[in-house]
Amino acid sequence: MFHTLMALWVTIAAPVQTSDTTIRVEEGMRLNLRNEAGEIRVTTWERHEVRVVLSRARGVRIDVERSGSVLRIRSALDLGFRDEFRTRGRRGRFDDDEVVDFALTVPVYLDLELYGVETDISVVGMNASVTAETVEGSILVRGGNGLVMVHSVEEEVRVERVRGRVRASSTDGDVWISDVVGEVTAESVDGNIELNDVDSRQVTARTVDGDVVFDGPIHDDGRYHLSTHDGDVTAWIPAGTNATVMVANFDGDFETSFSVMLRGLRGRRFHFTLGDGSARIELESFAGDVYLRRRR
Amino acid sequence: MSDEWMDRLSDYLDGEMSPAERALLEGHLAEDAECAAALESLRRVKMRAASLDDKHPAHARQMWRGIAQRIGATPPQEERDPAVAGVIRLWRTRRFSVSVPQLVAAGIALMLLSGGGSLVFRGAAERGVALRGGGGIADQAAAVPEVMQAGFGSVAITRFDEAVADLVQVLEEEREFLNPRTVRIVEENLAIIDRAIERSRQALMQDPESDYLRDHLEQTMRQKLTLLRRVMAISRAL
Repeated sequence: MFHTLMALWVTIAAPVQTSDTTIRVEEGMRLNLRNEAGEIRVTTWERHEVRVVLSRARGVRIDVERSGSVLRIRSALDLGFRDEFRTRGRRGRFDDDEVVDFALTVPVYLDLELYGVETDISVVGMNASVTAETVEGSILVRGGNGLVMVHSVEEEVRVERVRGRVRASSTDGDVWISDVVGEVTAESVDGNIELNDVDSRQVTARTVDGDVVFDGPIHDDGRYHLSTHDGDVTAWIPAGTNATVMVANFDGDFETSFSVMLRGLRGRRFHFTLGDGSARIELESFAGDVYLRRRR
Repeated sequence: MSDEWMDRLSDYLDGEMSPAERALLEGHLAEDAECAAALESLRRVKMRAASLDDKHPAHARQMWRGIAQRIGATPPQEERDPAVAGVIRLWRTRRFSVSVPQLVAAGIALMLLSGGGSLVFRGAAERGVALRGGGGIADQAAAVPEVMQAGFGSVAITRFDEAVADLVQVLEEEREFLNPRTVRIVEENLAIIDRAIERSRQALMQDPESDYLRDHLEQTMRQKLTLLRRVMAISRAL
């Protein structure tokens, strides 16, 4: 194993400069990329290599470092200019010459850790764990295996076609999760949460100001918790579901397309049983309506 | 700042470094403003946690074990009576494998939960039920909201507010390094959560025996803490 430090200097010879490099990797490795401003786009191929193509990279130093099983790529300003970077950050958006777009092509098995500030992130076709975080930017992860963890402060996050555990959140945006098999945790503050075709035994979806929608099978040993403070909660579940359903509401209505007998009306909560009551479904809205619908 | 020094700040504050190591770190602190700021934040959290521990030692120790589990930190082996593990040991052992950002967040969570956590709310509800049991029902029913407001309830809420204020103050120091638009969005979302907290508090005062309202209020408070921690992590990463 060897440690290689490569610095790729992007010249200022032309208004727009591209850079293209390929780095050999192997299974068990992890890629860690930080891009303060611009885009990070990841697609896959069958080679044991990571191809990095940069664009809009005028005036920015790019560092690639391999240390053990981790491949680190940075677009940040050289560490020697970090104070200046923080000072410039104070004045608002990044300058044009600080914006870099990364287009990566990677093997499907490479675990990814992608971070940015004013950065949109998209990852398509992976069969590994993906972590993606940004402040001002949206995130799309389509495909993944293992742990997929995404967070954006200001915009929406979208996770699709994952087999594994999903933790998706946004502060000021919506959370969309679809075609997932595995445990799901979704959170937002000012945004809606929509979980479609989610096949899971453990679902937690929670927002403060927004709606929560769940559409998926209910496993007999499953636990499903959907809640919001100011919004509606809608659960689409199959006919024949076996579940104890607990509904909590302070100022809103409850509607269901199932025939139920309400029990335990106490302290703003009540419950009823579907089938043998084995699964547990909790539907809560402080100031909105709760709907339990039969899945189409 | 390198991870090596970040992970040693706690040892530095506890006086568990050799003179040579201290000299190296102090030289580094003189040149790295980020590291110096992290040290100062950690020093404030330590002081705050120590004061809470003095006032509510048993409470704080129990809370700390729960927090340590939630953030994935590895508590030291409890060689002695488990009752004396917890906050005090956190600050005195080098075997505690937790990063400084986690430490700061844990300290803040400790402040939050020791002051306004679920145990206190449940205690308040139990006290309300107990009061209803003695004396005239109408009188005691009227008194319950007062108890919650003037007794456990207001103390818990006050301590939560104080803990959040402490965290916000730390974040204020980092504010200037965030994009103003991001700051505005974070503040808007904090306001959303605050409105939800206030509505939940009012609802709980109307219906103090509601488990749902109590749980909902607690959960909303936790969401505020989560947001503040996340913002702190962002600012630290810049």
